[in-house]
Amino acid sequence: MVMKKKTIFMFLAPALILFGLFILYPVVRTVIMSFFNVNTITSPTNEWSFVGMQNYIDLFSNPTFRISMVNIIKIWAITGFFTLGIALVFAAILSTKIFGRKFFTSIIYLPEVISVIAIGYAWLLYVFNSQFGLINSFFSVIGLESLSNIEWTSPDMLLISMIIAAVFGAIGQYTLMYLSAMTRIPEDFYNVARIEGQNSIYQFFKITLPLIKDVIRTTAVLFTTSTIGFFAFARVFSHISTITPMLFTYNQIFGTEINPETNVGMGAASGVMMSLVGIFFFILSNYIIKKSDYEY
Amino acid sequence: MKNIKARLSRMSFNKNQLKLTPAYIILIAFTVFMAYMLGWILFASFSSTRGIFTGNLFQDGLNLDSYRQIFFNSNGLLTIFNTLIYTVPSSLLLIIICAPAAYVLARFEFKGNKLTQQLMVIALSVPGIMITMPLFFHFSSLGVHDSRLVIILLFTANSIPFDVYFLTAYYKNLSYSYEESAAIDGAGPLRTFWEIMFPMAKPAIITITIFNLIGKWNAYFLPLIFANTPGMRPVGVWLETTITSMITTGNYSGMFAAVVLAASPTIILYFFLANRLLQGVEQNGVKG
Repeated sequence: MVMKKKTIFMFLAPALILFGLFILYPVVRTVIMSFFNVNTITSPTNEWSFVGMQNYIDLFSNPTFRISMVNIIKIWAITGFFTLGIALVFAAILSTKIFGRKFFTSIIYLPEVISVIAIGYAWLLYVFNSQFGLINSFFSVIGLESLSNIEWTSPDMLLISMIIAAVFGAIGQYTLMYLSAMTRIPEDFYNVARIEGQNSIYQFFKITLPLIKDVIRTTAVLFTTSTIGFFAFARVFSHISTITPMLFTYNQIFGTEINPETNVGMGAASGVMMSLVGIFFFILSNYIIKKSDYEY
Repeated sequence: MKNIKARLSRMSFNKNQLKLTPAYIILIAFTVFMAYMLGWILFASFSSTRGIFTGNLFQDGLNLDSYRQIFFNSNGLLTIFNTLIYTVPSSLLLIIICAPAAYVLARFEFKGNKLTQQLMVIALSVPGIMITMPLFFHFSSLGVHDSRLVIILLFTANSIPFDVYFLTAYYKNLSYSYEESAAIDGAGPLRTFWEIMFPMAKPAIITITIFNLIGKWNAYFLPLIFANTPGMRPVGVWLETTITSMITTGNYSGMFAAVVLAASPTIILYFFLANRLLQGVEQNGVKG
């Protein structure tokens, strides 16, 4: 199809102008900023001084940043394992001829539409509460005193508690992705297995899993890139044991109530590092997600 | 014969349902957990803090003080107003801006087309913090820091990469015959788009608009930085501020009322649109 250059530009202009002003330009400026010493966010350019890679060196030798790196790796591994695992189980269940499939699907997806801050506080203030919390009262009702005495909001438990809440908040999205992949598998595959007398566990591991391998890879990449931005739960659970690189960066740029000191250049360097990790996984996903090995 | 067949199929049906018992247990357990959690929080918001701690929620009867407090003393109403002011216009603007852009990117060849699409996709994996520093600097030096219009533009711009990407994928799959017959009828490109190709994308536009409405309502990171003054806060940031101030006085009933106020609008919207939304997600695998 052909269209006049002027018309094409007219169609594209609003999107490109907003994209350029509010995304492209700020990102480029932040990258430049990461090589300068910038003390506060309102420092004009003539107060910046070039420091080369110093911000990056400072960043990796900063003890809080190191803690946040260890935390995010733990969050990535544990949340990823449970979120994707539970989502697979839910999707496998929902792809059977179960009653109320639509109803259960909508319940599982429900947390996705609720504000992350609201979900975080619902868990922190209610579910994990040591006096009237859901978990502790459930275990004390069924008589498991040792489990009902767990202090979920104590410093040693806080990271685990946050991970549980994060898994709860993320399952729905991945369940739906797996479900849509599973419903595309032809019923014949399962009928053959059924005639051969194979049970549903066997069918899940020998038919379902191999056929949705590519979708699992895609979701793993998607989960990884979204974990880089892990922020809201970390704010709600706010403790040194739950700090993430994104929260660390935010604190470097905008300061905290306890420590209003800022280092915007280092914050920019940290942002650049997170972007590089994100782009790395994005490019990686383009390489590993080739055409499926199976045709169906 | 027919009878036997029907009975046989019913029998295998029952057997299959029996085998699904563990599946039902898992689903029902999750549903009960969710209902109990949301229901308890709703009841607790109408209870008193004393009732919450003694485990007898309504020992003091129905308590509306928490709602009175968050609506009128804690800017609850203003927050709902703010959130709507940011959410609705930006979701509408996104459609008007992104649909034409996606249309030409998907269906016309021109210099810079590939580059534009690649830039949009790469922007999807760049964290939001990367745009905050320069924008904060410019907004405060221009003195537009407390402007609702700026927030609307920011909310709009922030979703352009995803929405353009999403709608481009949709437009790539439509047949070219529509434009061809429009051209034969002598319709210009503007009329062809707004009267034929824009309505053609209705399913995708509805899906993306539901996502934008819910996503913008729940937006937290950008408003935390750009709309974090008492008069400007949308619900996410407001909820955090309100709870941080109430937690020092231990007003649990008030805190749960704040959670209910922040969470209920999207839950109610979801209640009506769940089928439509889930269909959209299943078909396109978009993120909420």
